[in-house]
Amino acid sequence: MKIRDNILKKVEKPSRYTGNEWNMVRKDPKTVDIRFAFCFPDTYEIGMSHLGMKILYHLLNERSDTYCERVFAPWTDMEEEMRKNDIPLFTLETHEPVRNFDIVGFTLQYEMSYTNVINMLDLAGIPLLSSDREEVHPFVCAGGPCAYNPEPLADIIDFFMMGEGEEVINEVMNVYAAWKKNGGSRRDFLLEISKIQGVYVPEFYDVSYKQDGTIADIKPNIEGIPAKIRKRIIKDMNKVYYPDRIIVPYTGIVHDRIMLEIFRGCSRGCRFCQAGFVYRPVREKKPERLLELAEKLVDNTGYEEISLTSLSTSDYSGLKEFTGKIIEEMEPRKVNLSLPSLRIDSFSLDLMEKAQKVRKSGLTFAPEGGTQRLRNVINKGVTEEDLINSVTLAFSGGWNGVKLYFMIGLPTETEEDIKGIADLGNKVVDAYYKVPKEKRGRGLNVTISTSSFVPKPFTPFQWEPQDSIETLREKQKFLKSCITSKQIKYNWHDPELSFLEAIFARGDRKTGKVLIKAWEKGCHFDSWGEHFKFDKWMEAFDECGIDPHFYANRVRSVDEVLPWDHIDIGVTREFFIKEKEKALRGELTVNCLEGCSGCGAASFGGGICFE
Amino acid sequence: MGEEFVLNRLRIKFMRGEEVKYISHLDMLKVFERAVRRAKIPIAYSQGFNPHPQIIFGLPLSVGVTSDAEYADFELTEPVTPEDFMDKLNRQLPSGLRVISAKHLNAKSNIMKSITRASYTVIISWMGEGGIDGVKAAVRAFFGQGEVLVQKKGKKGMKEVNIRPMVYDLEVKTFSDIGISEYKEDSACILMTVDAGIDSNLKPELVISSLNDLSGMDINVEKVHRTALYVNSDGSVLDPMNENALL
Repeated sequence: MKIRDNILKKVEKPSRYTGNEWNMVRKDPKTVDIRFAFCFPDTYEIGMSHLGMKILYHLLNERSDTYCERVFAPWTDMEEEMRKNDIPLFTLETHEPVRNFDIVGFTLQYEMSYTNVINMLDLAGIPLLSSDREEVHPFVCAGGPCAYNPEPLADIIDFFMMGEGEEVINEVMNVYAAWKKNGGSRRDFLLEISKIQGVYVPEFYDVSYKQDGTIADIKPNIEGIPAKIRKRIIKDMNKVYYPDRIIVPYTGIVHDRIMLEIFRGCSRGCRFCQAGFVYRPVREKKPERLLELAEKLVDNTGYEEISLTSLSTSDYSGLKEFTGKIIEEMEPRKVNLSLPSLRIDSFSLDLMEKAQKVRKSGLTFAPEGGTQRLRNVINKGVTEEDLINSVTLAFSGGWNGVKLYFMIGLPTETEEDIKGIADLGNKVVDAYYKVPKEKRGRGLNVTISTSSFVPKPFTPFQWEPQDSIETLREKQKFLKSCITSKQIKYNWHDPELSFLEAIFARGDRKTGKVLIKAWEKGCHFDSWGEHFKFDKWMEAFDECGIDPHFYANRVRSVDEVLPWDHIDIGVTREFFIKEKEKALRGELTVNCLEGCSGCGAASFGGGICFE
Repeated sequence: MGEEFVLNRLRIKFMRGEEVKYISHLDMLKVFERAVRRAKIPIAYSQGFNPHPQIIFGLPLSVGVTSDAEYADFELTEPVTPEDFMDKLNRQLPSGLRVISAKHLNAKSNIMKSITRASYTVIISWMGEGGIDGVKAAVRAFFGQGEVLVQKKGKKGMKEVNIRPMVYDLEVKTFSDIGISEYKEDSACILMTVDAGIDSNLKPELVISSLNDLSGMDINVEKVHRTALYVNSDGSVLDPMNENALL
């Protein structure tokens, strides 16, 4: 299928749809048994920036029996042309219709992309509901961080893969190849893979509800499959597959550089952070392996920048030696190193100066809470003194911009905590003026950004209510009134969007029909401000007879059966309850580097728990 | 300096095909920069805080336009033979981009500053009355007039420009004229050579728009293909790979 020029000429950024990039995998589709359409439910620029997709794309294509191709959500202008000209959703590699593929896989990175999943299935001509798909249709699967609460999409997705995908996806492909050869029903295949650790087939699990709308029970409706689906992790990060060539896009994408994953997991245990718990335990890659990968990736892509990726770069053991070596190797080739998620201290400032040939503009800090009390509640082990010391160092080194990230609506938050955000901002401004004029950079620029707290599954705050939209807005207004310094700029998130995130983050199976209803009303690309239609969402809830506040704003008891209780991430419910109680008492929990708190992740038998 | 070649400067001629025609000019620079790094070509970098590879392109190519004749100049830190350079770079360029020749270049030349003319083949189609005879009549009318005014987008909004002196050659060809057997009806080729470069630059679409004005027809641009670029070398108009242009 060729996408005609007269269509491509009409749309914005046509190279989103043309493929043919450097390192794109080319295979003759006739020579493979499995055609896999890897779908990212957002634009090309966002999807192509995602590390997980890069890994799994190249990993699947290592198999001689499989051709994995990429699919992104067409932007609204292209969608209009596609619908007008009867062009079904297609892949970038062969431009063939997605509906002819064997398996269609979505990665779920954020809740507000769910309507894009639905829209893409519709554009592909694949029935939206799992129960409506027949032998001629592809299997539709999903994974990624949002899959840890799969329930809102349980009626749409045929099977989910929980946790890290490198091993489980190959196991599923093996079963598929055998099933396709031997012939069998769709159910036969799903039955077979539901025995693989980490695979969740929603149709084999029944959910029953109590009169008050909460869940009574979630259990398998067939024999021989696990009652709890346990996530997958990669035990040895040094042996796991990592691509040594990645696709180099023609058009600017969000993260247009080599991403070098230095470790998985985070040892810190911030109580609001889902990533901090679901990726446990911490597992590092050895410096030698990283250097080897960096070299090959630069050889094969020609990229001018390598970014070290992890949840908390400063926690990588031997960071100093490793960064020293990689800078030394990359300098002659004019390849820069970028270091996100780095704690700011004299070492890291020095490192940034050496590694990045960029202007000393903005540094980012995430104290998250405005007072020490609240920072203790969320177990964010950072003090005001830490922050002031860091910014003073940065200002003395010539940096002049500081971005401060906070959350509003956190459990136990009071007016004082919100005022504390503004106070902290003022203290940062004061710290700048304390640095002698000749040493500091000119034109101070402080930005305070607040997001609204979204309680997430698999965190100690999974039982907490979210503030109402009205309360969040009042808090934002109050904070705005507290910020008096002209040097401070204040940005805030749309509380309506946070409200929807809270609903679908902790939604049950019943919320799935709202997703479809909202999509029918024209909702998609919801995380793109210009396409967010809050009133349509509220109409959808209303018409489906679903109370959104039941999911977002209700206090849940720790005895309640949660929609994701049949998923096992290793960290135990008992640990989360203990953490919740400690949070309310303002007690800190040590990070995994200092001591073990017995979260349960040690049951995977690897990583930091055994070092 | 006289007429000596400096062995670490090279000029290439390359083609841009259908597969890569939607890449913008800025993105094209990145494509070459990355290809050069993959090829381990010893490219020179600019001095300063934010070093840039020393690659200079001729005339930017609009998004959607293909070309048989694109040029770029490269400065290296050590000598590389043109054959070796071309071979290494071609191995690292995506399909649709291909270097077709490479030559040593005198240090004084700079492709971007010396471009003066460009030739294009434009495939047009029309709706309604007029036919190919109407288009031919419009071309005759074009040369029959002292000035041909069109609306051109400038830095300060639209302004009226006389494009007549900017056009050197303008011909209508049917597809059978140029040996293409199958193409849809009510369409033809326009071959043109026009001003290009820093001092005066004319987009082929504007020429077509003037033909619309002159004929009263509804002519559309289907496809634009650049067939040649020329440089001004001490007053003479030359192929950029001409020995005299490289000196």
